[in-house]
Amino acid sequence: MTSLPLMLDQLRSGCIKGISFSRARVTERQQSIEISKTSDLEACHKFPINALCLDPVEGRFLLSGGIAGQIFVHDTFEQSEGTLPVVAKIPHGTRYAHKYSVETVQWFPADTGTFTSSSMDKTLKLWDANRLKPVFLARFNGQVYKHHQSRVNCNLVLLATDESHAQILDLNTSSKTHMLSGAHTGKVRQCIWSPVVEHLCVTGGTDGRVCIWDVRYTRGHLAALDTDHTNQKKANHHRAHHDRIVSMEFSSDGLELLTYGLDHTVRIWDVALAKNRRINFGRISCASVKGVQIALADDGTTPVLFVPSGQSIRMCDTTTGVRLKNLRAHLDSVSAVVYCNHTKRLFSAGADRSILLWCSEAELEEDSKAKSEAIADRWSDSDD
Amino acid sequence: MAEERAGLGSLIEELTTTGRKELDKNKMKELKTLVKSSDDSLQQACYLLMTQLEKDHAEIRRSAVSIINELFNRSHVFRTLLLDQFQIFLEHTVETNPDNPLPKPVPVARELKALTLRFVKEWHAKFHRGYKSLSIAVNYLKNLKRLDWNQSNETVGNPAPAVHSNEYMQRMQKERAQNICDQFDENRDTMEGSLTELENSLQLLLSSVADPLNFLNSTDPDQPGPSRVQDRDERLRAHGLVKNYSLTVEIRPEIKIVETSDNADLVSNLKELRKVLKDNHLPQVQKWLKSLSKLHGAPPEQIRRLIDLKERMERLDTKLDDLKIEIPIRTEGQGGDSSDDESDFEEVEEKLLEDHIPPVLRAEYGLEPLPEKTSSKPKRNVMEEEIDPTSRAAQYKRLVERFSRQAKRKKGEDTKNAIFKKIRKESTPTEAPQANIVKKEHEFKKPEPKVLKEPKPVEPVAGTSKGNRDAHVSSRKEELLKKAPKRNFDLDLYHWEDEKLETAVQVIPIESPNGYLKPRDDDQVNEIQKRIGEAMVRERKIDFSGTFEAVKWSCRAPLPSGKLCPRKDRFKCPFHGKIIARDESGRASNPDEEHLQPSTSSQLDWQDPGLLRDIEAEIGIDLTMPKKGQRKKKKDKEGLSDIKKAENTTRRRLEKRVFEKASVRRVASALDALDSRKYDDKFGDQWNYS
Repeated sequence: MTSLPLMLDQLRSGCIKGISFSRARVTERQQSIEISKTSDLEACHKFPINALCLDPVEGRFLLSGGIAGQIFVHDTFEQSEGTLPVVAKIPHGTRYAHKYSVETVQWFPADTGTFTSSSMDKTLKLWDANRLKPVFLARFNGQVYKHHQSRVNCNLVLLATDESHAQILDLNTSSKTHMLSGAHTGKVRQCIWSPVVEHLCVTGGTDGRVCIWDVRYTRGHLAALDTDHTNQKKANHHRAHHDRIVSMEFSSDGLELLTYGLDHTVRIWDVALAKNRRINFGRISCASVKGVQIALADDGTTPVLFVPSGQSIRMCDTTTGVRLKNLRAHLDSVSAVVYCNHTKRLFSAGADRSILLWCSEAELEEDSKAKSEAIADRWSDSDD
Repeated sequence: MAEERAGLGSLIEELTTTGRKELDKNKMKELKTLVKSSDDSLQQACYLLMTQLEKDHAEIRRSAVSIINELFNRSHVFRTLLLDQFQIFLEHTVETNPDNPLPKPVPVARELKALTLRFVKEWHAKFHRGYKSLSIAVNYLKNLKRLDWNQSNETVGNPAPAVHSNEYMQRMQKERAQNICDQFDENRDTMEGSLTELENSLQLLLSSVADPLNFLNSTDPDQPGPSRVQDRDERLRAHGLVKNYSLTVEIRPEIKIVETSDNADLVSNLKELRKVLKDNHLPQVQKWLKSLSKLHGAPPEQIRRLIDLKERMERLDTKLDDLKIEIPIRTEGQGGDSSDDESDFEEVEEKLLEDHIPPVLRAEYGLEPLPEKTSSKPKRNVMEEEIDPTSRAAQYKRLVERFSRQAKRKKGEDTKNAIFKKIRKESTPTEAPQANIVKKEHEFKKPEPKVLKEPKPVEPVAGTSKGNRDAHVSSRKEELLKKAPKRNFDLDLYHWEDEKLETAVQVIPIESPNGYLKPRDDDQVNEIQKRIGEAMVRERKIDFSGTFEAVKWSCRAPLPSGKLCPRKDRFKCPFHGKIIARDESGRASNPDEEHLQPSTSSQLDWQDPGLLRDIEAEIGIDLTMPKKGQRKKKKDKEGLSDIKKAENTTRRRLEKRVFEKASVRRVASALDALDSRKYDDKFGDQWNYS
């Protein structure tokens, strides 16, 4: 990696573009990411945390939902004595809170006026973020393991309700409009909309299959991803993973899909070709059977993937699959990571009931006296 | 470098396998100097310590934690290294992962937990500025439900388990109390129902009086006041009695009820209910109360209700105790005229029977209703013995017979008349339709000196004939006593040499008024009955007449374990000889006495230590014998307590036996054989289906 003065020179002389300079800077920061020493989030969860979501507008408000049905919102911009405060809370057991574990929380893609949450109590709730009251409630036959609101058409919610089909709920008419069935033999536990193509979505199931759907296409799914591209005639033999899918994520351009399976592997797929990119990430051991949230940071020179793996977070380069770092600080299994494109920070939450903030503080390296004192060696003379 | 590493490894190994709480200071110093030299060795030390933490022995882990604490307080590199794998560290020391429990021994594991928590607190206080993950860990530990973060505030060791067990005990007690309360609630209705029924039937039986006890009290004569004395005198005079005549009457607070055909059902019901109350309900309630008194956490109103119920039951029980239900005696001659009775009794050799009564009891027997004594057991035994002419009883009988012949002549018809009168009187059915309450007046009937006559026995009007007989009986008693044979030795000694005891057969009481049925033939007599009968003449029970005094002192001789001998012997301890006064440490307070103790080490000549030393010096071989019962200790785990020893419980040993392959096979084959035999019995002769 080139040094900062050299890059500045190159930038000034026009040898490199501004975008590549900033990307290089971002990558540099990502490389040096570690647990934030200056700030942390206010501890509020009394129960393990399942899901996180940063607001898509400015990356300011962090939604978090836990297994007791509690939902909290942190303001990540405001800092009082190094603590990011809680600005809204729906504690468990209160009137509007979910009865059982909240599996997914998501901000409305366009603003922070509403957010959705889905839970093991077989409901999806649309919340008014200001009044903290549900304005719409949808009931389903199965536990809602995952839901996703399209970024392109904000009113469509894709749901994985522990059945062999995924469902689409239209918030405009507040009715279930589609059932994406016929592709999975197991239960659908993961689902995601493409961030760029309006009608494209992907579902993943306990059978290890990942299927791409066009919701306008009535005859079934477009393609089922297959690990080895073997020219199998029978499409229903295609498997993306050897075990259930625990997480999926699109790259921001929508061209690549990342899947994470219980077979302890992460795979990158070309969405257009429905082909495996064959990037070897090695074994990333997966502790959760329910589903985790992975995060992709593709604002640097190379996209970086953050994968919760047991009690640590694995940080990988997606172009090579090389492990960059192992972020350890959680004391129990990590269930969700969220990367903020705006502040280049990472939030992670897990069963240890804490949300941790990771960032690069290399620049802030204020060598305060107190700190150096705190970390100093203290060998006494008698030890000689 | 490799040498250094090896040294580090062995040093840590040695430090962690001492099994002691404190670390060896010299070795620790050595370790510190080794580690201080380079970061590499620190890394190595951290790795080694983490491996020690994974060992399945709480003492090893405890020592490792102590070493970690020493290093953590000193080196920044070590801190970062440890905090990097802090989660693993916590899992192995404070049991953050329930799937990975701490190893045995349990008390040390508890100590380890508390110790680690204390250390983490100290580290947090010192270093929380520099190390973020430390504060994250502390927050995590604070929120962890499995762990009592405040537990480590207390001193490491004892209080923690106490708190744990206390909580546990309280929970258990509450549960058990709740259980009992539930049981009580379940059974309360039945109990109260039967109580009410009992009370009601009692009320019905005693409908003439509200409360039997009160009834008795009201009839009790009050203390005579001055005016009353006069009244009384006048009244006495009207009856022809002396002025200062006084009669002491013992009143028993008993209520007698005669069972008639009218109240038979009521009485039987009463009896039944009473039996249930006495045998089931009252003991049950008492048991509940007893266990509730030991437990905490029972709702007080439940206890109060239970106590109320118990009191009610007890009150009723005492009331019923006072109540005597009499079954009217039906003699053979009931309903016939008196002459018939007399002839009957003459005919039946009742006299003969009476003659066998020991003379001491004779008087008493003479007054008891006849049918009652017919089925008394001891008499029967005597009778059986009489069959054998050589037996003592037979000789005794001969004597008695001789005496009774003389006595009969004197007695004449007097006694008989008295008896018959009494029988007639008692057997006449009571006229009252409801139960009659008869205040006991047996003082007048009984010859026992219940009635104290002052100043000179004055015959009550009603009991003249009886009084006559009394005098007669007592004179006869004296005569009898004169002639009565002396009893020299007991029955068991008497039968000492008898190989066979033909007479010693216990006979089933036969419900017959005359009691003259012979025992059944020998071959019909049950073997068991025989044995019981034998036991009666073979055995003698002698009650210990003194009072037992518990031994208040113990031997208290010093034991090799450092404790004092806890044996409580009266005079002499089987191990330490005569019991002497000893001070707190077990030494004899009088040193001379100790020398009197038999010394166990009686040395032989060749065992003289001086001689042995000389020989040793000569031949160069260690001649000391291994001490008895002591085996060579294992060198490798020296100091560590043996975990497997704790596992060697009775249950384990039993399990080893019971679930041994061979024994399981044996049992299985036995069961199989049983099954197949059953099958053969049923279908063994059927061949069409096979």
